[in-house]
Amino acid sequence: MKILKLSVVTAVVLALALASASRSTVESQSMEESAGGESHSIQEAPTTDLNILTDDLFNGLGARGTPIDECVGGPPVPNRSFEDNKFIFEERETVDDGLGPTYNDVGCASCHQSPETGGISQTNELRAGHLNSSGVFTNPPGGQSLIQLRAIAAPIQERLDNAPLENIRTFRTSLNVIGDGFVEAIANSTLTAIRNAQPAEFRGTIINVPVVEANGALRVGRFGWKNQHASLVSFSGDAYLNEMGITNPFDGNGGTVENNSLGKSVAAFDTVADPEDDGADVEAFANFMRATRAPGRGTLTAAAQTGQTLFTQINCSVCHTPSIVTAPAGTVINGGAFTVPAVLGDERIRPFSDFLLHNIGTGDGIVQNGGAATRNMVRTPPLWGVRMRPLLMHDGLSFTFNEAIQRHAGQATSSRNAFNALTADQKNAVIAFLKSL
Amino acid sequence: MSSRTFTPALILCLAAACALSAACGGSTPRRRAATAEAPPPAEAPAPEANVLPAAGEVAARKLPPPGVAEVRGAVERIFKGAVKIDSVPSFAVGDFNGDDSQDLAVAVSPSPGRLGEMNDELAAWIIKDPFAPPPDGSSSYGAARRRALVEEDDTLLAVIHGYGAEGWRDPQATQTFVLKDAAGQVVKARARKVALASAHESRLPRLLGDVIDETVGGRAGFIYYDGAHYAWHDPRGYRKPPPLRVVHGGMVKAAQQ
Repeated sequence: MKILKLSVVTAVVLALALASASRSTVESQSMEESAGGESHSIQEAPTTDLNILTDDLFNGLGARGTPIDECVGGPPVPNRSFEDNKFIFEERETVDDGLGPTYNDVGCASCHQSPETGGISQTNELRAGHLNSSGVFTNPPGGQSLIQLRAIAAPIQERLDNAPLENIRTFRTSLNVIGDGFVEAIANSTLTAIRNAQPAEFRGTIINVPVVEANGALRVGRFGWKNQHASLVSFSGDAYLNEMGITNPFDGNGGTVENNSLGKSVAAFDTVADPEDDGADVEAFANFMRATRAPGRGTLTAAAQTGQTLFTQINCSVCHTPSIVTAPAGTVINGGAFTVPAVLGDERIRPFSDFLLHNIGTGDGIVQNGGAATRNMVRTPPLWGVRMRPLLMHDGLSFTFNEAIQRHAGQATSSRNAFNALTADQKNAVIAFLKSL
Repeated sequence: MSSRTFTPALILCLAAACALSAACGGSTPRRRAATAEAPPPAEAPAPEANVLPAAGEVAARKLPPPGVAEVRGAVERIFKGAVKIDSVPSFAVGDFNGDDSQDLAVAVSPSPGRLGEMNDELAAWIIKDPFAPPPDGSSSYGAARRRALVEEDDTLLAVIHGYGAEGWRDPQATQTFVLKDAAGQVVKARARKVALASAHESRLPRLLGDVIDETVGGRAGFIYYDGAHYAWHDPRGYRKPPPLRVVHGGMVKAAQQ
């Protein structure tokens, strides 16, 4: 009987140990009050070490599955598991799948890849447009600012020689999407509270954008350089059409309108019936992103810790917000189309972004979902994982952290000046901090 | 069932329950209440309108012509003695970066013994060579990937970007580009609309703001801001942007050999 009791006690202890170990990357847990006044248990979001050699990308949302080997287990099944969705995210589309006729690349992971699937790449996209006689930004012929840099046939290749009036031209670097499930799970009220707490000089701009899968219900934008999307399904549907040329029910046009070539029809080159994807792939992309951990920090040296303090003191952290808590699990978001699961709810993330639009003098001149006032604004880029990014700023045209800091003007002027007033050791500490992100 | 067989069975059951609970913990909401998030807020007007001048405001505002003393003051504010300017400085004002705040372009040269500061990786200015030929994939002179360094006998053009209504005179106006060998004999600003009227738009690069007319090394042209760099435009030598393409360094090198 003694043995039985001892066994029961051991089993209970084991159970407790197992339960806590199931979230091995949880660093801390605290009780905090949400915007609604309710107390919640806040946990540190699980992170990946941004090292493809470490198998730590999956955050535990849904089934993990096993890596897909088409020769053994057959093709992937969208939304069956994380590994299925990851495979679909990495898949290279072909003309038979509906690729093009104009497009930028053949798969999500072509641009979102380094160091792990979902990370960044050196790929820049090109956007263009012009100001009309009233000074209003106007898209090129065809109705969109994105100039697709590839085509499946030479006669329909988009090129600015064919649109000489489009003299507003800019590059946009590919964004990291690892951890974006947590960003999607940030409540509107949290982003609003961040904005309201910012001093007028720094205050960001919120734009409300339609959630395609919720019949256009509005939500605070947070994805893309212009905050043009609020949900990962809308973001993926847009990218599937505009980056790969694959029409789908979530592309904003109901999956029925193929891109043109600067206004010229591409119908003669389009051999696949619309919609070219029934929506399953788009949901697989979104669910892959939702099931990734947040980008984790690198080595936190003493200099990096000093740098983080300085980063806050000179107000960089007003816009590059160090910490945000996601909405509680069970919160219905995206206009009713998605409910925050436990893995993504009440999690503290360290994005170093407020996910708001700001004018820091770098412009880019392009208007997307935000209206004319946002022409020269860009979203504060999250700095998590920036140690992987050698080409900085929205256009990738700054090659060192100091150069990127020096390009900050407009709303970031006082922070740049405060940085310039630091000693060389202090500046190096700030840069050491950035290299730790 | 004897206690000898019961105990391991019980442990097994409990362990299985634990494993199950741990495995499912990730996907079971800790909080089941389906609360809809608050609707998005009403969009506020662009807030920087409170801080920065509205488009056209500076142009409409009559700022006094720049005096030599305040030009020297602005240069000193940025460089703290690392550059010197002539006794009769050559300078011009205009909205070169197109942000509706008046900027200053002034010819300077490095102070003796201060090259280290000028070329410091952490310097508070960005050094560019506006004459560097455009790399593949770009139409802009000055966008070269090689880092430009100031040398002792360089003539430099410092472009100090303005801030707010006071432009380059504002104490916060410190964002500065140092353009290598870009100061001609005369530095003269030309309004963007005048520059645009001088040639068909297809014969001009994208102009964000006013341009700086220069004759450098016998070549007449202008220096303009492209959003990230200052670049040289030679009207006679202007060619259309090359097609955008991905070029692998090794392949270019091989082709050149």
